[in-house]
Amino acid sequence: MPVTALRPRESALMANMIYGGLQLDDPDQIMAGAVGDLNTRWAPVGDTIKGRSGVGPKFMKRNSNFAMVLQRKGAPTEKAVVIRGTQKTSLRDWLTNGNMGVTPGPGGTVVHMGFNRVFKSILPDVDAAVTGSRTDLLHVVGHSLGGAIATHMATHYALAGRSVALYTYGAPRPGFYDFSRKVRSAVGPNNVYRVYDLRDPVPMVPLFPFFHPNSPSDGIRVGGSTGRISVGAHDMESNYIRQVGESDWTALTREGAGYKSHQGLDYWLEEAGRATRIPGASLGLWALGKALQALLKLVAVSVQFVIGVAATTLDLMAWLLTKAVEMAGKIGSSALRWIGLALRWLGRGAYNAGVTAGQVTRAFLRYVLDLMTRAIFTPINAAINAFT
Amino acid sequence: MERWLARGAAVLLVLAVSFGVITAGGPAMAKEIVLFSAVDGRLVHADGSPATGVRISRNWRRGSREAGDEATTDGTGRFAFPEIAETPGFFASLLPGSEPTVQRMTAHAESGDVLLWQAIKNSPERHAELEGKPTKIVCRVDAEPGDGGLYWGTCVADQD
Repeated sequence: MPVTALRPRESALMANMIYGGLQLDDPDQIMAGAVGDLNTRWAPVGDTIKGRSGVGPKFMKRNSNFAMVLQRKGAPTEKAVVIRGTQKTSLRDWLTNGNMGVTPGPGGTVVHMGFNRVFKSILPDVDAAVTGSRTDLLHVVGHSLGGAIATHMATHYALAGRSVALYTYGAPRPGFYDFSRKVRSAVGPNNVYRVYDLRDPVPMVPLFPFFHPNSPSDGIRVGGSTGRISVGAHDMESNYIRQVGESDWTALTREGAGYKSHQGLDYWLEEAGRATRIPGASLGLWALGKALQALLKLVAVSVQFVIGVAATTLDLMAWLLTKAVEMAGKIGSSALRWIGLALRWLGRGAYNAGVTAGQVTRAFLRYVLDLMTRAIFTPINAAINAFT
Repeated sequence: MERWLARGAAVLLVLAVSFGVITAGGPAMAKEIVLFSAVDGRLVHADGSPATGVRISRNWRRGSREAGDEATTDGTGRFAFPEIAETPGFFASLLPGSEPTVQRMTAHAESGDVLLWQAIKNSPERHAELEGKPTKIVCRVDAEPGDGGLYWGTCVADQD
């Protein structure tokens, strides 16, 4: 069921506002302390909601404000759940960990374990605020990690029969393909507003087989298609709020629709061939990702089946790609071409000519994929290693 | 073989960084992080008359680091604070994620302390407080701090 959506700027102001919870506790003060005038239209319901973050033993720490529930002034049956993303210091916990496992999600789907844990840690308090008074329409909003958790939250409430709209900014990929389909079918394809910037590295992870929720336009791309990957493009207040401006969703969707996302393998290999001439360009990585998805769909191996034999996402990708290379004909040659382009994107174009099917072992592919992951997140790992 | 791969990977990582595959900057991110833009303020009573000779303290906290400074209103109730900025460490500049700064200004009036301004700055950019315009504000010294103004406190944008 289509619902009346928040305007882009309203949802962006909410996604930014919740970061005040890192410095303040009082929900009214967090609302008033944020940029924009949200507090003239929305009031907090109850207290700020604490969440658990971190991995390993640190996960048990429950001391940080993660979410707030708001209600519209004068129309309190319209509510919003707003979830924050990561602090600079803890991003690594979620995004750079190629070994982070998966776990069952709603309706038998497969989701990212880290995102699911935070979702579960905040759900009881969110639910108390949402069900504490009548709620006819629920907006779920989040930036970065908060966007991934918002995707879980929106799906949870949609499956429970509520009218839900989902808004994410620079969110990572929350789950496997079946989960992305579940989000689409439960929330409704026209109620998913996934905003991303091609220069923002966070929406690129975790890599395949993680997917973004499907929506008709494959998300709403802002910020154009040029430029290199930049962590500054991930900023809510200095990038996304500015990019959405005063536009409405129709205009933003139209502006970002330069690339068709539902093209076939050949289209994406051609695109990748053009865009990887500049090593490290954000457009090149994007096209490589699209080509990889198209390629692996052709391999037609059940992702669910392979989970049993592959330890990590990277292993899984390597396994699937090896399968593709082993297959005769077009799939095999396309897979080799993809590997060549990936190496070129990494600035290792000299390898290009030398790659033959016989050399493409699972270990070699894992190495290439690992390099790609690291090329995106090396600086983050370097930062962590320097201080720990 | 594994060792060779590891060594090769390490070399490539260094290359990736030095050739700028990843950049910290870009149009959306300033090199410098402005924690508190310069403030051009007026302190007034309920009737609009200037509150003169009032000491105002300003504080800011980012992560767990905290600092502050002070100013005193002049004969027309005016007070001013300079911009506070810091250059992020090399590694910190490469991390995506948020690190908001909480900003406070408190007037130490004869009748007691009044919280004039409490805002969260989640952007590294200059003048983000008023979305691009200089922080020119007028604040009440005898009002109860609340959410009716620009941020939490007693201040609104100064139209004069």
